[in-house]
Amino acid sequence: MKKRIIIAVCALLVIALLFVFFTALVMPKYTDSKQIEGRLIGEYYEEAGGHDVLFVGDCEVYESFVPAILWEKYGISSYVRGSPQQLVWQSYYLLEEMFKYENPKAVVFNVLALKYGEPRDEAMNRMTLDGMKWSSSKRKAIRASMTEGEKLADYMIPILRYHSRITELTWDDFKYVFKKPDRVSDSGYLMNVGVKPTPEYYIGMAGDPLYDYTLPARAMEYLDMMKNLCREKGCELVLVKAPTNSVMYYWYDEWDEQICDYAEKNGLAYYNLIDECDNIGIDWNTDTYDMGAHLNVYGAEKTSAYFGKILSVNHGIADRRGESDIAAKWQERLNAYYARKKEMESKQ
Amino acid sequence: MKKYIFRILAIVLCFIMAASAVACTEEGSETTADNGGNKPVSSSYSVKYNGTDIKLGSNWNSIESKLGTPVGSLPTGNCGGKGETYRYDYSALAITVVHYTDGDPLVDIITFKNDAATTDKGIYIGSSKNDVINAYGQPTEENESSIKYVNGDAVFTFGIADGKVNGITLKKNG
Repeated sequence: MKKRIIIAVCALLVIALLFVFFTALVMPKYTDSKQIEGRLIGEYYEEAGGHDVLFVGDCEVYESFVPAILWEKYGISSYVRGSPQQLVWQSYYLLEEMFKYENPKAVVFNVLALKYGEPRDEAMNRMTLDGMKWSSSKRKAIRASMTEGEKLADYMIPILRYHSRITELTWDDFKYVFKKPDRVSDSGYLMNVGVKPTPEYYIGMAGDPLYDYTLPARAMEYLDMMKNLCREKGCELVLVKAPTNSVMYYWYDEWDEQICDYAEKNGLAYYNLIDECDNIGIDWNTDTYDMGAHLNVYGAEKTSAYFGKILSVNHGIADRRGESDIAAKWQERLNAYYARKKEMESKQ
Repeated sequence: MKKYIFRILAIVLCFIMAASAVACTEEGSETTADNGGNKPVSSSYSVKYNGTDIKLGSNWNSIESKLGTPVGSLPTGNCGGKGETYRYDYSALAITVVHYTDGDPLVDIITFKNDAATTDKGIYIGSSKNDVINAYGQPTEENESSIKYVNGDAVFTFGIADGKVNGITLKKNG
């Protein structure tokens, strides 16, 4: 009897180890250059804690705001927890999770995602959700994000979803089965040094007319929840619209009015940086890598320099360059940022 | 000892076979977006412009050869590796095309910009709402500002203001 128990336990242990190994093997590593954004959310945990400003939102956030520049120019300690097509309910639950690690003075939310009121795309969901550590916040984010046909079990037991990748494995899947790839971001900012000017035909072009400009109720409900959460945690929610306004990701005046109204009614600051492009110094010939849809590093540095002053002067975010512990950490990050920039520029 | 190792291995192999049977009961659909939409679009709806009939899912290379070089083209940005999507502008239409990595570039969305283009049933920007209903019947969906018609995999959305069409979009249903 004893021997049978031992055999059973050994078998279960081997099964458990194989299960853990194959799950880790088939999980996407997002090392392909076209999908490195899938690593952004998970990278946060290496730097969690000690930030005075947290940014949440979609690709406009992680490609427009540079924590290294905010530190270098204003001594602001910040992190950008952005991801591709991050939906507002995902931003909310990410923020809820981050409050377990952080005690920020301000949370900055990029408002473009408020145009989406329904779950959209499993692949994009995964890029945000798979990187989160397991928590009640992750579980709630999954439930809020699942598209038709998705199941919570597929997120809890990833091998159920990714088993088909067994026939598509690459060397990187084996190399990074238990080891993390090198960081792709600098405190959440994803650098791009490419330059691809906005064609003149599209500069200033308005978006295609919509049939209904009302921002979805569900999105506004989560914005409300974010506002309340920040108040409960004693920090300020700051709304921002990044300076990019490509015809493909157009920020309509009608939406802007709704956000202005919301901000005014709730005593929140809202900065539409599209209107400040001239003051920021954005040049659509040099500051975008994809014809105006997103900023490159040159545009992002200008934007960060501009917005950092707002955070410092208007919102009283402290200059912490005089605190030796934090200054030492940020000097390392700054060195890493400029080393990455130099390396990327050398490959252009 | 050997006997116990064989028994353990037998149990493990049974588990693996059972797990494989469970895990493979559903089709493993892709979680990357690149090749998720590359399927034929079945619908009779189309757009007519400059003597060319354009349907969703049409091969863009063929359409462009008939319409000529667009006045502008813009990538939508590769947000999260979804693949290259481009917007091509003509004076009367904006056509969004998905350049699938494992297939041809296909027409994905058609947006009307003025009345120089018409739908397959002759509706254009400026037509009356009654014209639309006479052409397409009762809408599938209607609200204050638009009426929608679904045919197969495609949906026409007609923006309506003051009883007239002020916008037309043809895109995939769902």
